[in-house]
Amino acid sequence: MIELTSGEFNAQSFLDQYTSGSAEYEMLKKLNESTHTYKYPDLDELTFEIKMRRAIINASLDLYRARLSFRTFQDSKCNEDFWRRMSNGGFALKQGVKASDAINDIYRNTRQYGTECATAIVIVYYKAVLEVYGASLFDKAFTDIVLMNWQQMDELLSIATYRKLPDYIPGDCRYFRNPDVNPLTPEWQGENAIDMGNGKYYGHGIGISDANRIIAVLNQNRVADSTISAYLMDTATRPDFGSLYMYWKNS
Amino acid sequence: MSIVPMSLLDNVRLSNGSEYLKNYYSDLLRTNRSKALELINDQDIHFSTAYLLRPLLKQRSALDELNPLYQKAFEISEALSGKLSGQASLKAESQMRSAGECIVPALRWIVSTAEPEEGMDGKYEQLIDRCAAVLVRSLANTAMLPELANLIFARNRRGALIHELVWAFFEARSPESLVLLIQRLSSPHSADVKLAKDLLCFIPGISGNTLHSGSSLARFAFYWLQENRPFLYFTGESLHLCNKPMHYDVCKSARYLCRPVSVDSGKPLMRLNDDEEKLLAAFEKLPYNSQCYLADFSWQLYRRNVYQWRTWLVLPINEQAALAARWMGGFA
Repeated sequence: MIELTSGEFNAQSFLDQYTSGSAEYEMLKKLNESTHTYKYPDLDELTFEIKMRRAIINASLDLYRARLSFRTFQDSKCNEDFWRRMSNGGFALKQGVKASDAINDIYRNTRQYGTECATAIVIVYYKAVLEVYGASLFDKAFTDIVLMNWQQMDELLSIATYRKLPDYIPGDCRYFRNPDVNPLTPEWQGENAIDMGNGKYYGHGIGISDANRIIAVLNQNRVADSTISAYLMDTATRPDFGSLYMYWKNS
Repeated sequence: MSIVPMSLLDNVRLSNGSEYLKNYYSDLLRTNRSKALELINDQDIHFSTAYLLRPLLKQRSALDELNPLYQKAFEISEALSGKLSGQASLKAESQMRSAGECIVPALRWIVSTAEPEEGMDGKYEQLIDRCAAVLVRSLANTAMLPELANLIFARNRRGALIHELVWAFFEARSPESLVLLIQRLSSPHSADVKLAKDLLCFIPGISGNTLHSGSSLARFAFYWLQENRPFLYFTGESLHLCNKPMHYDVCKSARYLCRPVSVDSGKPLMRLNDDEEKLLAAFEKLPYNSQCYLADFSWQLYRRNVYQWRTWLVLPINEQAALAARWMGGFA
């Protein structure tokens, strides 16, 4: 259930603001019907989180439509006008370049980019924050972006992975693990995938599909004669919506 | 962290760079072939150096004159280089697996002398990653984990990609090998210490600890490993999943019952009897903190006095908790 520190929460009237069947509706319904208590200081912060989660889903959909190519870190590529490719395969924001322009360029000149699934998720997070914050605040907040898997993430995003959660909410990043992966193609050891709602996931390199298809694709990349299937792990990775809200509110 | 001996050609490369080495060796092959072959067959030569000279050896039809170990290593590197996907990668992996023990010495030579990788391209690092993964996953070789740990920390100091090497290291599912990481907590290199802390973040109090010296943290981690070894299991988390994967976890219910678990599954190695199953069911219903407390107490009592432990374990779980609180002077 949802609890507001500021006062009583009328779940139904809040739910009525969203279309039944939308991702936002599903998020709120899950939070509200949970046996776990989700505490928010006020309605604004809850609304902000819902907005951010929607932006994560939109940014995933846009990246999928833009056809970002899948490449291993050793083989990653980027537009050198905006990013400097690092020796570990990550991309660092070039000096003098606005972070908002650099993130938008990934969505505009997508053919010049190629990377692994976790970096794609990091791109999705930055794009989602850009959409919610707007370019001016985004550029103020992020001056030194590094796109590299989960490493070197900006502190403001405070990405964290949670285990054995009571609920998984659209906008979460889930992980499909492939325990019997062919060791020569470790890039298929698992897939980070954004929960798009309605049982669909976006996984870079696989596309938007249900959990069974993602598992089937991973299973195709196991060692010969394997009988151990890929599976969805009991984890979720999320940015710190609370920190992002506070920065937005106080700016 | 052992010192790997080096050949003359390694020294030439380290002192003067890769291009100088290639020019030097090309001249030598032309002017004094037997000396050139003697140098490349040096038992201490590093794979990284030999790899750079391979095109020259091929050009001069000298590959057949290498010793069998180095020939095998080049065969493997040929098979595992470049783009491998779909059926090609499955076939390559099956071939490696069926080759079995006879390719282990060559793979170990590659992995143990892969550094220095500086000046090498991403394809070379990918080749080394694949060799390490084949050794651990396809051939279940854990004897090479010390070399693999050396490689991980050396590469990390250069800021290069370590994800796949770390993945291979933990895929060995060898809690004993954690000692190789614990040793790095007292390394003089700050990058080693930071990486070791991150990789050992499943040990409470290690990650982000700046209060204690490296050696005292290492002592603590050794002690923790000894304490928890029978109950550790591999979680399957990796750097692909998150920034600080918890590669291992302690099975608290097993610690409570004092029954060792399989490192692969976290399930008890021996079948539990009916009484233990009932205790387990009651234990699983407890809040997390109470589980931790009871598990710690049970394991301590078991090692101190197994007869007392047996008497305690047959009590209802609320009485167990009350006694534990009284004996440990805390709250269950």
